[in-house]
Amino acid sequence: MAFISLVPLLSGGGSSISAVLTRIDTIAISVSAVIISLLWIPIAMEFFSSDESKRMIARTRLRNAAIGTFIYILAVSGLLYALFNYIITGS
Amino acid sequence: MDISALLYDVLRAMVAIYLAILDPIWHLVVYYGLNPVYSYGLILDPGYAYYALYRSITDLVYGIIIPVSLIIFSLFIAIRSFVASFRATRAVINLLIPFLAIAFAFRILVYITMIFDDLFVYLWKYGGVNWYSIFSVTQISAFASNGSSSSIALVFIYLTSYFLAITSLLAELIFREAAELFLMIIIPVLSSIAFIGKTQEYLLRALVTFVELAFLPIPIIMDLILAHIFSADPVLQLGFFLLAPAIPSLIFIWMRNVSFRLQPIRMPTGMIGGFIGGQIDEMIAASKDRRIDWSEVYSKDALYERGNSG
Repeated sequence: MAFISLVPLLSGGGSSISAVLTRIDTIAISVSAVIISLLWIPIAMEFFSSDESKRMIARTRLRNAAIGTFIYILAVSGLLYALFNYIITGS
Repeated sequence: MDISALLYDVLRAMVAIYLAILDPIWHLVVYYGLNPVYSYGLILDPGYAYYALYRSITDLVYGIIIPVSLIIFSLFIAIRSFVASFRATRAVINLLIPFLAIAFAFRILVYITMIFDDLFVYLWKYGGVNWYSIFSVTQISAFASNGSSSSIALVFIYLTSYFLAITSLLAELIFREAAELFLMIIIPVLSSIAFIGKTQEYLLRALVTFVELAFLPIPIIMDLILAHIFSADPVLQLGFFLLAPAIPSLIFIWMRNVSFRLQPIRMPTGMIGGFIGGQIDEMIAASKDRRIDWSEVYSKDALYERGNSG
């Protein structure tokens, strides 16, 4: 039944595919924002902990997480696509 | 009626059928499989309808699929940056690879095919052989009509081997053309997901398979030239004909096992290692473990500093 309900969606051509992908896009962004904000919690806990070696490790992890989040934000905002698009096509 | 005489007549009939059927099948092999107009010309210029399909697929991939998979895979990269050691330059290069692949893969593959085309035409014209007739390439008519040296059963087995060799060569060459045309279409789709190492392996596999298939007629025509040179030895000549459809398993599978274990970014080293031999593979395998784990270095640094202060 689920498959039958998908058939008109898939046979509609490019426009419905783009609609599906836009929804996937929206879902991915909203879910991933929650995931990433949850992932920041342990790093913050480590950073403010009293153990000194844990704080040193947390410094590396903080930098990695910041770069990762930055790349993610670039991708979500469409800046990365625009940048690579400019590098490849020049427009 | 004597049964052996009946069997003899049946074998004679089969030999006559083989002699009648081998030449048209061989003509198909040469005309559709080896002839440069089809073996390379079809791939270099597949026609208007093919280009329209290719362009619509590229538009779909570049305009719709890539932005979505960019977001999904950047989420992977972000999560990986939280849990594992992480290099930003490598991540940015990984994000750039699909764009570069879509922009340049088609052109690079066409240029490689053109180079192989030139090589193939050089070998195709070598020696002025009339490839279209199997009786000018091989000596099967002499072998079949030479009644004193060979029995009719031996001729029957000989021609059966030829039949199997030529039909599988036809199947292989036609499969090659179909697979190349298909791979050109599928490569943009595979590039659209090539944001991490695992999915880059699929793209690399498609690209390498395309190059291998574009190269394939060259060893086959070399093999057939050898078969023509050794036409005085009918058994060795049959050996060359049986080798021709087995060339992919002879040359490519070993290289594939070597190179696909490696990471895509190290592909040239892997290919060279595959060509040169076993020792270099071990060197490459050892160098994989030599990567520096920076979190480990920093934790050691922290322990050292704590030792100094305390």
